[in-house]
This record gives sequence, C-alpha cells and structure tokens, in this order.
Amino acid sequence: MKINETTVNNIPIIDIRTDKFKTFTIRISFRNTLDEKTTTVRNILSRMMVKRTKKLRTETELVQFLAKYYGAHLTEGTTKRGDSHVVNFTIEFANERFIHEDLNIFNDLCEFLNDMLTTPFEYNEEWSAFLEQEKRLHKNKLSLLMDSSMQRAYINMLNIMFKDEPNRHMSFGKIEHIDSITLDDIMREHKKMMKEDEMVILVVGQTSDEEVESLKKIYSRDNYVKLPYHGFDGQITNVINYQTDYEKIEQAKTILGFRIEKKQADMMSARIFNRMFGGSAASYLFMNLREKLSLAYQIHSELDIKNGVLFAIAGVDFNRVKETEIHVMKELDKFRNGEFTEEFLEESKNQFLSARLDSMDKPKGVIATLYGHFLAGVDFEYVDEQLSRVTRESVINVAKHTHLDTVYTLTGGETNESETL
Amino acid sequence: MKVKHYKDIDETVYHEKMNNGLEVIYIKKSGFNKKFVTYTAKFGSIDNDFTVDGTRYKIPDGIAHFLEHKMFEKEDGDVFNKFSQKGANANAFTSYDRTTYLFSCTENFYENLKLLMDMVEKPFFTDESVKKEIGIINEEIKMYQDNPGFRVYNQLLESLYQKHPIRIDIAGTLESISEITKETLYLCHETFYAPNNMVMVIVGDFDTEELFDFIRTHQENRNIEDLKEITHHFEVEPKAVLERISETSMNVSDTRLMLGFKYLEHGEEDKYNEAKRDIIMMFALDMVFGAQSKFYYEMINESLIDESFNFGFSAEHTYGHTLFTSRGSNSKEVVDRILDIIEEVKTTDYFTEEMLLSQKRELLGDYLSSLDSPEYIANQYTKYLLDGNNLYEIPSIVEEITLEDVKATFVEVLDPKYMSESLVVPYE
Repeated sequence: MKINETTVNNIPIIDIRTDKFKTFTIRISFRNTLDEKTTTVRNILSRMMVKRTKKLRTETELVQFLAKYYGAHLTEGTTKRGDSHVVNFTIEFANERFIHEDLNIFNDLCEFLNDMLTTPFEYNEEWSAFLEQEKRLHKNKLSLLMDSSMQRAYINMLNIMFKDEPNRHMSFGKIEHIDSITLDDIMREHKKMMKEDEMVILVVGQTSDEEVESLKKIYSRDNYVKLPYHGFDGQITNVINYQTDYEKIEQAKTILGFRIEKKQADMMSARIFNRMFGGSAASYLFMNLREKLSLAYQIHSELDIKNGVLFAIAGVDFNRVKETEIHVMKELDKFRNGEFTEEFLEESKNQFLSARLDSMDKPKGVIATLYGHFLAGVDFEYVDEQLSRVTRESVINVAKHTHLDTVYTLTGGETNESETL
Repeated sequence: MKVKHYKDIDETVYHEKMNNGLEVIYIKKSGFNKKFVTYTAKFGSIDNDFTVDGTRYKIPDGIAHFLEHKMFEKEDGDVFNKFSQKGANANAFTSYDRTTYLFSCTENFYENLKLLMDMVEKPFFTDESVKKEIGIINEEIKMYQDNPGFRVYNQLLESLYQKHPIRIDIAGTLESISEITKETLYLCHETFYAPNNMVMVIVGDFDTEELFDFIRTHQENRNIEDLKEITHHFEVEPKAVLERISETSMNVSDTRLMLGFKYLEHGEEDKYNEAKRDIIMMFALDMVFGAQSKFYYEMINESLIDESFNFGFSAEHTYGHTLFTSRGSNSKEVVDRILDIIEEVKTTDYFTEEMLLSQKRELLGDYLSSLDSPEYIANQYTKYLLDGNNLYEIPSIVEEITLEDVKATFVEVLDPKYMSESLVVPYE
C-alpha cells in the first residue's frame, strides 16, 4: 500500500494505491464547524445531490446510469468529528480489470462527480417539489431513528448532559428544523460548502497516474482551504444529574455519561483505557457485568476523546438499574486504583494495532483511517509512537480524570429507582 | 486436497475433507493482513426434532442459540478473554439452520485457530452455568422485544407458517430456555457438533501446506470414529397461511407494515436450480420494486412509501417467502398497490432485456465488491456450500438467466392466495 498526498486544483488528494481490492472507492469530504442552524440544511442538501443532477434529471435516470457502470454505489452521509460537521460523498465501483466490456469507468464517474457537485448552483423553482420530497424523506428517516428505544435514550441523554452545549447536536440535524428550509437556504449552504469548507478527496484501489489525472475533473477551487480541528470544551462539575423517563418498553436502557479532563489525560491512553473498561469483549464491563453478574446482554462503553466524553451503555432489567450503575462505577474504580494486569494493558495495545491492520483490509476502513490522520496531521509512525508511550500510570491517570456527569434511564418500570434507592 | 483457481475473478480455493468427515476450505487472499475463520455446525433453531441412534428427541426452542452462548465458557474461564489475549476478535451467531463460530486476527493465527477448534469441540456445562446463562439470554430476548423491526418480522412469520419451527424466535422464549439442562446441551453437542456435520472456512494469506497440516494433525488427534447419522423431522407445513392479518402496538412513530408471500412449491428442485431461483427472484423483485422501477418512483412521489421500503426473497429446503417492509399510516393502500403491480407483471410484458442486462451488471459489480471482504467470503462461502452450491460459480449462473426465467419465477413465487400482513401500530 502506497500513500501519495498531493494538491490538485487547490484540493488535497490522498491517493492510496493497493492491488488487494477488486474495486475503487472515492470519497469527497467537506468539513466545517458544527452549527445547529446548518446541520439539517447540509443533510437535505447532500441527500438532494446524490439523487438528481443537471444531466440525470430523475432518481431513476441516476440509478440507471450507475447501474450501467456495474452498479456503482453512490452514498452520502454526515458525521460529527470534534466540533466539526462533515459531509461525505462516497462512490464505490468495480475495477475495469475484472470486467469484459470496454468502459472507462473511472474517468466517466469522475465526470459524473463533477456534475453532482456543481448541480445545486443551478437549482431553480423547478427543483422545489424535489426539495419538499427530500424534506419529507429526511423527516421520516429521523422519526424512524427515534423508533429505537436505545436511540431515544441516547438522544435524551445528550440533551440532558449537554443542555446548553453544542455537543448535544446530532450530525443528522433536527426534525423541527426541516419544515422551514427553503431552496435559497439549500443553495446558500451549497455555495458556502463548496467555497469555505475544508475539502479533501481520498481514493483507494489499484490507481495509476491515469486515474489521478481523471480525479482532476471532479472539482476545482480558487483557494486552498484548511480549517482548525478542535473538540468542544465541556465543563466538569461535581454534581451528578439523574433522570429517568418511563415508556411502555420491555427492558431499561441506562446510560452513564462521563466527562474526561482532556488537558489532564493523554488521548491515546484514553483510547486504550476505553478498550479495557468497556470497549471490547475482554473489557471489565463485558466480562464482569455481563459474563459474571448476568446483568445485561448489551453492555459497552464508547469514547469521543476529541470532545472528552465517555458513555457506558447497557440494556438491563427494570429492577437492576441502580445495581448496574453501582457496578459500572466499581469497574471504573478498579482502573483508578490500578487493579489491572500489565498483560491486559499490553493485550489492549495489541488489539488497537490489530484493529488498525484489520481496517486496512477494507476500502472504507482505509479511507476512514487516512482521513483521521489527515485531520489530526499525523501518520502511522506518530500513532505508533503515541501508543508506545501508553503506560500503566497513564491509563490510571485517565481513569482518575474521568468523572460521572449524568445517569439517564429510559425504563418501563413503575418507580423511579434512581431516586428510591 | 483439491485446488481450484477462478481466473476471471482471480480467486483460489483449496478444499479437503478430513478423515473424520470435517470439510475444510481455504480461500487465499494475497496481501490481506486479516485472517478470518468460520467454524460452522449444521445445527440451527429449526432443528428441534430429530432422531439419532434410533431415539427421537424433541428439544426446547432456542437451544441451538443457547448452546452457542455456552460454548464460550470453559472450566478455566471465558474463551472470549483468551482470544483477546491472543489479539483476536471472536464471535458467534445462530441462524435457522446453522451455528457459526468465528474469529479474526492479524497475529498469533495458529494459536487462535487451536483455541477456536478446542472451544467448539470440547464442551463444558454445569447446572450453575446453565442457570446463569438464562438471565443473559432473557435480556437478549427482551432487547429484541423492544425492536419494532424484529417484532413486525417475527409476527409475520408466526402468521405465515402454521407448524414450521421458523415461526419461533431463534433465541426461543423465557419459558423454553428455562427447560434447558446441561444434559440436553451435551446431547445436542455430541449429535450436531460431530466433525461430519461441520464445515470450516479460512480466508487470508497463508502457506497452504502448513495450514492444512496443522488442521489435519489436530483433527486426527481427536480420534473420532463413531460418526452418527441424524434424521431431521419437520411436520408437513400446509400451503395456506395461518392468519391473513396480525397486529400489535408499540412505541413507534408510525405504522410498520411487513407483507409476506409464502412459497412452498419447491422441494425436490436440484441445488443448482435453487441458487439460480434465488438470483432470479433478486433480479425480478429489484426490477419491479427497486429504486430504478416505475413503482418505487411513483410510490415515493405519492408519499406512500419512504426509503425504509424494502423487499427480499428467502427460501431453504423446508420454507420460503418473499417479504416487503414499509412504514406509514396508509399501509392498506401500499398492500393494494403491491398486489396491482404483481398482477400487471403477470399479465403484461413487464420485463425487458435492457432491464435484465442492467441487473446482471449491477450484480457483478456488487459481487466483485463483496470479494474485497474476508468476512463476506467466509460467511457466504459457508452458506452456499451448506446449500450444496458454490459462491464462485455465481457469475456463470447469472449468465444463464433469461427473461422467461424471470417472469415464470416471479409469477410462481408471488401468489396473493398465500399472503399475510403484519402490522406494528403506534399506541393510541
């Protein structure tokens, strides 16, 4: 695998050359500050962009066009990274080498991507009905997400824990913001995205200089844009918020939200700590709460170190919510007190390396890893060096600077256990 | 050992049947860091009535899944932990007709392979550990009960089928799993985890001889000679559905619909034609209901469906059905429109050569993309193998499919006489 980073037409291009895949994957990423006012607009905009273009005027025409290129897959998605909102367009398609037909797939699809990226510049009233359709479909998508009781619990948790902080916003926007969006909002956001966002093109597959030449057709910018990459600064308080909501559900979903003092805790040590605490099948939460105590089937922890946040998430019996909270805290205390073996620490570090190698076997995994490196301005050697510096003391230090902030429970039980016990 | 190279897709498969009956398949992926292994027993949730050694057994629902959970626990601790110590990620899953144990790693491969084989081959159950597992699995069952997609699906299977065990949740129920004892687990293990009832698929970049020598030595050391024959019993499933409509209420934002068409006409078809039929149905459904179709476009425009609309066909030896899922308050109209378009396809020349060519191209593209994934290869190779087919022969099956095949199969499989509707509606 060979990685070439160049700048073409004022856009950074990360070309990852490998012959182990039978496909090509191109991702175009746009990044800007996460802003409540624009996340919903950016979601509707990206949906519209992958469905109709100037040249392919209906969804059917566009799908048929992609089908001709052996079912090229075009998708869009938005994510939250630190304090940024990222809009991704990804196209995956077969390498011509395996196809017995004379098609210039790579080049044609780069031209198509240009058509896709520039179409919103020409939106006019004719596109209004299409906008209304996409607003309705996005609304449906968000209400569908809320049909999952775990997702409801998670969103409620964010709203309580980050009451007045922008970290409460989800990457897909808000249902109540959809109705008022106009075509002007969409066009304005598109212009801003094309001009002011940090834009990157990543490509993985058996590329050659010929393919890189085709990539130039995707887009051209007047200026090179590089934006700062930060996380949110959360406030550590000594008060723990408790909230329990009741619904007709079969199992309680309980989430413990922790804040990590970012300035005190090393980022790589926090990653390793999360693996050991609840981020793997060998973790303390999994081994002790699930396997030994049979408290839960679902139990794990998730880390967003850029924003200094850790969640422990469990699906438990209505009557065992408080017991779960107590045991999660006991497990955390074990790390604070250094009750873990040197072997477990080394295993967890090895797991981290193994997961990275694993992701390098998937086109999208390669892209995600390399995009992460691009944002953080690091490379594999730097990450390896950071990992080698993780010690028993640095993991204990992360655990000591991890503070419980909020305990949220969505339950079907009849009493508020968190208050009664 | 048999070796086959598939030139067009540049893949090589090595296949050997061990002396004790275990089938081992190695698929070489040059340049991949990841090593992926599946070890599969032909024992799934529907295998709850069987005869072995002249005795017939009816075992509790959910036992295949329960056994899968218990195999990770041994006298000296949890095997998850040991895989983790060796840098591997292990997992397992149970489906209607098989249980698969798997791991992936980038290092310590042979140690992990030995761990997997020992874990699956050497059971250890106690009364106490069986009791403890009931608690965890009960939480798993409850987690699924809170999932509207799962509820609408299970309710549909309960309506479509009258007797077939597919209508029972793979995990069983709290009542059924409470009946499980260590004795029944040992019986199931001895019966279904015998080497001649298992398949191992390995994907990665290895020295072929070293790999097969390692597995051969391990399997020979097991000294298993007494291989038993298993007879499965299924009650005859009537063609008719049990209930036309079923409904339940949940905390959902809008009504969920799942429409099913039961299809039991098959039975004695040869394996190759079953694989061909599955691909034909995938094509036919996509041409009529997929994102390129007139139906989909109109239904989206009329706000009758949204992007959650989906469909699929699934058939094995003893069951078969086509499912449609949709979301929205106008489920009745959605059902009517699906029935209208089925009728239109039956009575007109709906399918065209151009549509079929487009399907074939798309499938080939998706297929190539799937071959970039060791997980996909291992899981799908196992599925095709157990069904008596070969994953790497898909392109040649696709070549053969004609428009006539598509229409005939679509008409045969989607018969509104054998239809059920399952609804999950919001609480009032």
